[in-house]
Amino acid sequence: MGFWTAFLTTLGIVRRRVSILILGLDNSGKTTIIAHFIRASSVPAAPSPTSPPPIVPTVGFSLEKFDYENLNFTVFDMSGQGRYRELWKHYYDDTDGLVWVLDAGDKERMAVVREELWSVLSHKALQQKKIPIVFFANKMDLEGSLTPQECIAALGLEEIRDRNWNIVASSAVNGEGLNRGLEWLAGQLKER
Amino acid sequence: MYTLITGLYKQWTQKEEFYVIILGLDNAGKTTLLERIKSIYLGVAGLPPEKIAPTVGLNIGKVEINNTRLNFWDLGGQRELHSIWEKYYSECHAIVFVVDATDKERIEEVKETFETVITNDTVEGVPVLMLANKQDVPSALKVHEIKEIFNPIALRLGARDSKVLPVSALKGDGVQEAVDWLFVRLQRNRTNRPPIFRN
Ligand SMILES: Nc1nc2c(ncn2[C@@H]2O[C@H](COP(=O)(O)OP(=O)(O)OP(=O)(O)O)[C@@H](O)[C@H]2O)c(=O)[nH]1
Ligand SMILES: Nc1nc2c(ncn2[C@@H]2O[C@H](COP(=O)(O)OP(=O)(O)OP(=O)(O)O)[C@@H](O)[C@H]2O)c(=O)[nH]1
Ligand SMILES: [Mg+2]
Ligand SMILES: [Mg+2]
Repeated sequence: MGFWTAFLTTLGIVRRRVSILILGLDNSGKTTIIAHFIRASSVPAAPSPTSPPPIVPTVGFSLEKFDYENLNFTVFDMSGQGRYRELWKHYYDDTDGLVWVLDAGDKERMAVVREELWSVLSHKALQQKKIPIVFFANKMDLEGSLTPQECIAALGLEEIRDRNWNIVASSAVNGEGLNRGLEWLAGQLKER
Repeated sequence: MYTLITGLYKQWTQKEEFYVIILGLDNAGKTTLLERIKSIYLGVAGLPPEKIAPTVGLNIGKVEINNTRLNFWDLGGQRELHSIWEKYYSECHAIVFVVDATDKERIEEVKETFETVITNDTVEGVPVLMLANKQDVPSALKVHEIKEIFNPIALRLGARDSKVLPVSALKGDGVQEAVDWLFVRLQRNRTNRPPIFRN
């Protein structure tokens, strides 16, 4: 960061850029969560005649940007489908933080999540870089969805001892919990 | 010869590490304490107190004293999270138990929780530091009052090092004394719980 940018960032005139990676199985709600933050950060435009495009399964990944507090987020919204998970590792190097989205209603696949999570965390690039992780226990609006405590137990999150992590129950359809999670991550990213 | 030299080299470059878990009920001030420790020992600003939310997860603080590293693990204090605490017991070298000294209504709950922690076999002999937090509030229970309340269960502490100290995590009063106490006890207990060596 150059002197002037650093100076203006301190004053809050220029937002500091941070890069985050959003991971999780397909259908967990990653794109819906990002859409919420994009909507919240953009200046309300005149009502457009066409409604926003519907959210569809991501192909490969999608690059998004939004502002939150005094940070400018660049987000790699990865596809969670099995055949695309191989792509995730190429983005570890340039990321400042991880967002991991769980479909808390999908108990059948918690074992798959667990496996994927640990394979991500044990990757060399992330072993060297103790970036923070926020977990969204998403779809809390669905009846019978797991609580954050149950997700901790199902995934063995207490084994993560070398970096800061936090889990928040959320619903991407009604927005609950989303700000709490991002606020925590923003606090972590500002510290550096 | 080579092994001797690399052995010596390792001794010079390796750092001793200790792990300290910070426990206590929700709202006791654990995360505020961790941020205060970080700001005192690392000189970084840390999270402003009003930005600290209840913990459901883990916050880490690494502090270096005399070439020894203390790793603090700050855990969530909500009731549903207590079952997670014991997962850290076998790896911890000391326990800091934070008490909200202004919350007299919950002192019985604190007592029960504290008793459950100290009587767990996995932490036998591990030094325990109880912090009577929020001493900046005039009505807060003083150390001697806390001691009186906890006296009936003091026996259950066993043969370990233990202490009650007054702090204000918010203002920082007493925090350095607390860390100093820990540092000495961690060293003293090192045959029981040897440090981890890292490069
Ligand atoms: N009930 C409920 N449905 C949700 C929630 N979040 C997302 N969904 C729905 O779940 C489906 C998948 O959402 P996406 O955002 O596309 O999921 P994704 O994680 O991006 O999936 P991939 O791109 O395939 O990896 C959509 O039908 C969403 O409307 C939630 O909190 N509650
Ligand atoms: N007056 C005063 N307030 C404090 C002090 N320490 C913490 N607090 C306040 O107590 C509240 C809880 O603090 P936290 O640090 O979040 O408590 P915690 O123990 O981490 O809570 P959990 O994460 O839910 O277990 C906050 O409003 C703090 O500002 C203190 O020394 N004095
Ligand atoms: Mg998607
Ligand atoms: Mg806390």
